[in-house]
Amino acid sequence: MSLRDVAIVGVHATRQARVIDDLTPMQLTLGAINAALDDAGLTRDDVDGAAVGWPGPGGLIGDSTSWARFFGHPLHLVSEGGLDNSGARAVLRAASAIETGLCDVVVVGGGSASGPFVPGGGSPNFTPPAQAARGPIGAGGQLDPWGGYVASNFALVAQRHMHEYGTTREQMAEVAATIRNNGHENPEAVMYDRGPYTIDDVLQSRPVASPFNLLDVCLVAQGGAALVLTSLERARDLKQTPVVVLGGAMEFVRGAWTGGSALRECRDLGKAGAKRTFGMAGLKPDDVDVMCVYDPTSFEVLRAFEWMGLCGEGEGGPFIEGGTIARDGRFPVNPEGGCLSHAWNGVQQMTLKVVEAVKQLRGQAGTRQIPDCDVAFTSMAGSGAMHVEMALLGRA
Amino acid sequence: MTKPLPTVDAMTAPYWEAAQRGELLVPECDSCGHKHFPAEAVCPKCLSNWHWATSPGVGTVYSFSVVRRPAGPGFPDVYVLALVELSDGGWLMTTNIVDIDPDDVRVGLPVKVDFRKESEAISLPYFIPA
Ligand SMILES: [Zn+2]
Repeated sequence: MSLRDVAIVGVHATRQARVIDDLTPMQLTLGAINAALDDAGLTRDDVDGAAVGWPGPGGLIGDSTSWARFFGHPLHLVSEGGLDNSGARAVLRAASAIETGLCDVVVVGGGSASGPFVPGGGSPNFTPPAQAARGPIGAGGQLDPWGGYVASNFALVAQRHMHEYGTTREQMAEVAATIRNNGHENPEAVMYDRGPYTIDDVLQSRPVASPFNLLDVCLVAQGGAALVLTSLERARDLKQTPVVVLGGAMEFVRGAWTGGSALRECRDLGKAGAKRTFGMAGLKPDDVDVMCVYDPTSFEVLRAFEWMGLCGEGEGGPFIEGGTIARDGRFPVNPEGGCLSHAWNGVQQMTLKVVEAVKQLRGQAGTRQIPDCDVAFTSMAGSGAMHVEMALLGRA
Repeated sequence: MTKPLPTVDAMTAPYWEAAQRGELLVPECDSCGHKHFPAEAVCPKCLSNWHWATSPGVGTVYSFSVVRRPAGPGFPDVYVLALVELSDGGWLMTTNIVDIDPDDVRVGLPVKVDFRKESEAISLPYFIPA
């Protein structure tokens, strides 16, 4: 039994924008699902697993069981929502279910929009005040008064990393400028044509939460994405070149937002998962051709290089200096613009990473195509660096 | 408008009552002695019950962020979000460092707790340079 017997056969990224107010969340989500199925050459009749946030109205918001009535037949796999429906985590859950025979064709994804019906108020909460207003769960309010939010929590990890390892602002700024320049050239990116950016532009941008300036942190937008997965055997008869899951892992060290983020808690986060992932694939981190990794801040990309094992602990900064992550560099990162420039849209930005990885592996990435792209690494993470999920993808 | 103040619940009521007396409490494990923050149902290290212990409230800045885009209405324009590593066992507490130019805060800065009354029911444990 192996994950590589499962293929991603359909992908779609919807329009991403600061605000999408001409579509309801349902319209946006349906658009993503239908387009991903069309990309695969499948229809809703083929689907028997859904890991797609239910947008409402009606039903239980977020719970994909609510989709069951809309496929015309029973579903054999659902999800209760959130990150289970996105990115590498959703891919691994769906692939495991298909490989073990629980179901045959799974759709993954969802979207956020603020058209006429918006359950729970719409816009995602990367930045204040929405995130702060939500408050930590189960903390009895002990965290509420201190003004921590997503960016400032990630900042606590970055600041400590600078202190312990000498990581510099310039190194972070190179990450931000590189990924933002990718988005600058991508017409689908929210920040299309808003650059180009230099390292100095990042260093001179407005301070947000030290060590981060405005251009170090991702933008808040809306949009959706969807994936379709099925067995490799079935994939061979479908429209696209099958992209298989070569390996993967998930790793969690703390519940979401249950404390200020500390480097001492997340220092090793991802290391065991990366070993497991590359071991499963029979590959080395050095074999990766393109990295579609979570970039809520410039700094998190440096840390990804460390936990993947591409460089030593604390060496992420020096490792990426001088063009390593540029599209023509040794390890291109987020060629479509990532969260920093393409979109951060709630949870489906994690799925956008998989969409880009698949397009690169199919050779469908157009002007941003990485040459000879055989192995793509995709990751998602969050909660101030308290969990990480990863999937290594390649052609069958 | 004031910033969001903590909701006192059954678990944390003793913590906030002690805060009004100027005393910092911390959950200490009945079994393994591990201290944690914020309070959780059981010791996160060994799953045993815990009791409230008094902390001297002294330590050093483990990490910090000078926040210039506040978390919401009621927060100051600039404040220092911090994790303080307490001397009584090295537990980490989320707080704000005050009474210092934000640009002078450094990892390793010695600090001590300083309670500030925010409302009738709530005094908050800020930290100031020791
Ligand atoms: Zn214990």
